[in-house]
Amino acid sequence: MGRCITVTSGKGGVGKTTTTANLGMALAMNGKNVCLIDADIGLRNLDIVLGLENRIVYDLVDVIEGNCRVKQALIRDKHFPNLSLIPAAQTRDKDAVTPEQMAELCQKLSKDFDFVVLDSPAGIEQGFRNAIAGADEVVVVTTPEVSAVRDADRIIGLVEAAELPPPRLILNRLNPALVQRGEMMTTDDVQDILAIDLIGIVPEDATIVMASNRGEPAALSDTSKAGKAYREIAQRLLGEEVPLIIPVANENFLTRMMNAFRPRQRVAS
Amino acid sequence: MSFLRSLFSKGPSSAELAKQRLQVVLVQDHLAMPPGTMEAIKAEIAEVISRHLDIDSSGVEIAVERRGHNDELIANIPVRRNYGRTRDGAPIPLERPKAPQAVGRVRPTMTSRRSAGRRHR
Repeated sequence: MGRCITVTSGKGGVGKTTTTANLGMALAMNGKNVCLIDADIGLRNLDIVLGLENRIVYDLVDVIEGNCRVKQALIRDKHFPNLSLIPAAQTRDKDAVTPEQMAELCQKLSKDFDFVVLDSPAGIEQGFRNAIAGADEVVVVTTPEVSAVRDADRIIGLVEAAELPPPRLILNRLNPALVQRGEMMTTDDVQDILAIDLIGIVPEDATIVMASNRGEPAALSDTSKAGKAYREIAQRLLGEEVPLIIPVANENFLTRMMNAFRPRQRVAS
Repeated sequence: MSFLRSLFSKGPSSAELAKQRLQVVLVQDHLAMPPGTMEAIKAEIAEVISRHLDIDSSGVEIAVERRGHNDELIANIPVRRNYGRTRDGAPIPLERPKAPQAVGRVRPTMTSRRSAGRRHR
């Protein structure tokens, strides 16, 4: 049985879709059979971030309504044949599927795949409920901003109320230079407030925009810092112990020396 | 760097402000209670406690604070030390050898005040 992981955040625009695409890619790079589901019905986006927008024939609602078989809706990735996508419907809305139907689909897919990763829509209504209905575990994405953290706190409460295990946190778009100037909350600040396990820190990185422009997730790039962070998160999801290093700004000699002596934070896997 | 910043800065950094503001707003989010509830709780706590103890009702403070994953209601209730008075407030007769010892602290951080009529000498 595979694991069903939902990526969610509450607030929009914090990087759920980017995270889903990159984690899916990174898990596939580790040789796992991965199925991504874009659960954001009406606002389809995971396909374009992955560069698969021209290959769509059937979508999630077609699968749910039985207009096609599950296999027909699976779009195979260009880079990894062990990575597939079920795109969201673009012309329907969130009420086209029910939580029970989503749970049933996740159950079915987890027989064929090692990982089923769902990209949740923003918000706390029906679309979110659909996205977590079949989840075994939840990953919450936030940025170090007051609005995103507040919404993440709400989502964590709702996930726990749904009797799922405590979600794990990805801190996205951390800007080390701003943190060092005291103008952005630190990793510790966010962790203090949200009080859940941190599974990764992704630095703010222009390569993310470039990657989605091209439709090739940053996890594929050897030079992207964000891509590396996503690959490490995937390893942690696989149970490997990868030390969690808080990104720092100026990489001059002095800071490098200081960082060498800085205590490193570890995460529970 | 942070040492230099603390020398020249005028107040908390924006990151510190963000954290403080979030901690306050999240407590409110978690409680999801109508306005005035805290005042009502405060008045009722004061009333219940004052049935048994001589407290300074105007000094009662309550707040909900975050402790890790839980939110806790913290109440500060100043208790008057009633040297020389019985529980119902009447003066203790002079011939009594010792006044009953003051009621202790309800909470470690609590402030205590001595009541006006301390002890007859």
